[in-house]
Amino acid sequence: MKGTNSLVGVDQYLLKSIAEELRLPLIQISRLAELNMQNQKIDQTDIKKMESSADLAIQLLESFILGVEYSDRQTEIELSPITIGAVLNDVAHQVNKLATANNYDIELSVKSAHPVMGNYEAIKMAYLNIAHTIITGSSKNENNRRSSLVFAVYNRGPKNMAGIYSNNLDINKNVWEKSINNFEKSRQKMPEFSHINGSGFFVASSILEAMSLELGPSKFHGNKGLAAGFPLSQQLPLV
Amino acid sequence: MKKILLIEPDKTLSIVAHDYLQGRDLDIQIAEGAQEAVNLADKNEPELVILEIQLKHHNGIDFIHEFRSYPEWHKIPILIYSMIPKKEFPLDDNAWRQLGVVKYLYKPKVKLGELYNEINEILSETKI
Repeated sequence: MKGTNSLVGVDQYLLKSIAEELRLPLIQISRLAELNMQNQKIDQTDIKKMESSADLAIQLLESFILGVEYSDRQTEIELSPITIGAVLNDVAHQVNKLATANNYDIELSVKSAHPVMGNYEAIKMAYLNIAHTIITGSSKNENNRRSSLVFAVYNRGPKNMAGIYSNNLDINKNVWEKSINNFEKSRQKMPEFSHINGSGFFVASSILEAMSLELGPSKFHGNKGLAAGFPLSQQLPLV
Repeated sequence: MKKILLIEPDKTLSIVAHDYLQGRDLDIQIAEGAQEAVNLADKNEPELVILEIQLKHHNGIDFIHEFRSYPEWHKIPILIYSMIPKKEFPLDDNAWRQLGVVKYLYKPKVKLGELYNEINEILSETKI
């Protein structure tokens, strides 16, 4: 797989600066929505949607900024023993409301409790982006059809695989590699999505790559998704 | 009502925070910059200062040093609520404590509800 760090070129500082600047109007929208949720005369459904959209955008920008900082080694990544299942559990809880609102049922399948080395917050941010992209990127989930969003951790050889999968996502090795290769050439990076370009996947990939972890297409119990393999250490469980 | 000095250079955010917190029985005074903050603190004697560290024409750390130079404000706790993440400052928790910063909250990730909870926690623990 072509390294996604190569997506961060000479314009990275300008883009990072734009991302940082864009946060302010989005935070203004999010906080205004929060304030207006106190006002019973205003339609709460619309306000909640407004807040949720702004928060998702802030999350994406924050992740992009972190990805650039990590890629450029501006920020040192502090690694410590973590349980990847706990990270995915955390992410699943955080996206639960958004998933439900978009007709997704969350399932957790954590089959391994081995500690791995990683940065909890950075990995959480990466998986939040994957989950958000799957949930918001799919326009198929209409007419109240329910889909599953599976957060899975399992052992595969010397690695702890951690991925997010869905029966509403059609992603495979071909599509993923093509998307990465087409990143600079095509407006529609992911053919899977019509109204977004799947940037959340690429941002997640760049954060994980900075920790020498490779995000890629994967299958779990018939569902397709994206996963990364976290090397297992024989020593860590003894710590 | 507990008096709080909010130093926030962005007008929209300061008004929104003011309206949200004022509606929860807190007396919020807004300052856009360092000098205005000093004037307001002089007049109102706040029990807590909420500070955006990225100020116009001013470095927030310099403001804290200036604020602490007045003996009567030595014990007023400062809560930083900023667009700049804590990790960007080469200060450890002890250095922040010595500046009288009791909490550092990163604005993009902390909503007004959480800010309000933190304020309450600080005010309940603080006896000036």
